[in-house]
Amino acid sequence: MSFDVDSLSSDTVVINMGEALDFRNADEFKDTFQEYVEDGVQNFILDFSDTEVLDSTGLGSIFSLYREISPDDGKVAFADVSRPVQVVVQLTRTYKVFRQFPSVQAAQEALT
Amino acid sequence: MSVLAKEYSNLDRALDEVRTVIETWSGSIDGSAELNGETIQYTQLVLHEWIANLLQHADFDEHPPSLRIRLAYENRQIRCVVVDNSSGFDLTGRLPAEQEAMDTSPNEAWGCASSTPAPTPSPTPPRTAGVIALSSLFLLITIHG
Repeated sequence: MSFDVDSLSSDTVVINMGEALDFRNADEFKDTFQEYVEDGVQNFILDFSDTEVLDSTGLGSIFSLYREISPDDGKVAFADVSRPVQVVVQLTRTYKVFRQFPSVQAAQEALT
Repeated sequence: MSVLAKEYSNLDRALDEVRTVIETWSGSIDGSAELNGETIQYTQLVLHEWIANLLQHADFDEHPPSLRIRLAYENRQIRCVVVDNSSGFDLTGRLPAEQEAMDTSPNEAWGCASSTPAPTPSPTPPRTAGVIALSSLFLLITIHG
């Protein structure tokens, strides 16, 4: 499975997280965002609208992204978070680290 | 009491099926209206993590994997029992030093470190009726509000 990425501007992209981010595709997610980090993208909006599974390894890969971009004031935002992902976010209190928005557009307006 | 019992020897299949199986079961039990969606999602999450850990880290020696899952719903609670035949590991040997754990941001997986020492593992794995080193998880998940 690959991740679809939409470039909104030179420093902001939206990554469609698809049906699952777990230990089976976390490395692929890392490869995907790495390419954009190296190109200077600072803001990553993660679209979770279709995501049924987010496991610990998947969440760890999102933290990897956060650790790479936060020293340069980069942001990771969660958009249109599905119910299963919301359960993980609440359980792990990840909402303290990543801002959530009801839609990709709302995230884009806040970040740019 | 409504019970779901499943047994797998193919862990990939178990991981692929577990969410759907739980979803289907939860809709069919008596009193399912009392069972909120969050409780089902917690159950799905716990089982996904368990099976994912088996796929990534478990050592089954020469044995084919065996995974038994039993879910029971009664009195507004889901009781979840998972038994597998992996050989387990020395927990104290794998845990990072407390300071090291505090210094490290989450990256690979969830985990927990306790400030109280873990019990000393027995020098030999448990053997029960010819089954070597059964490791098991017993969880009790309670419905909220």
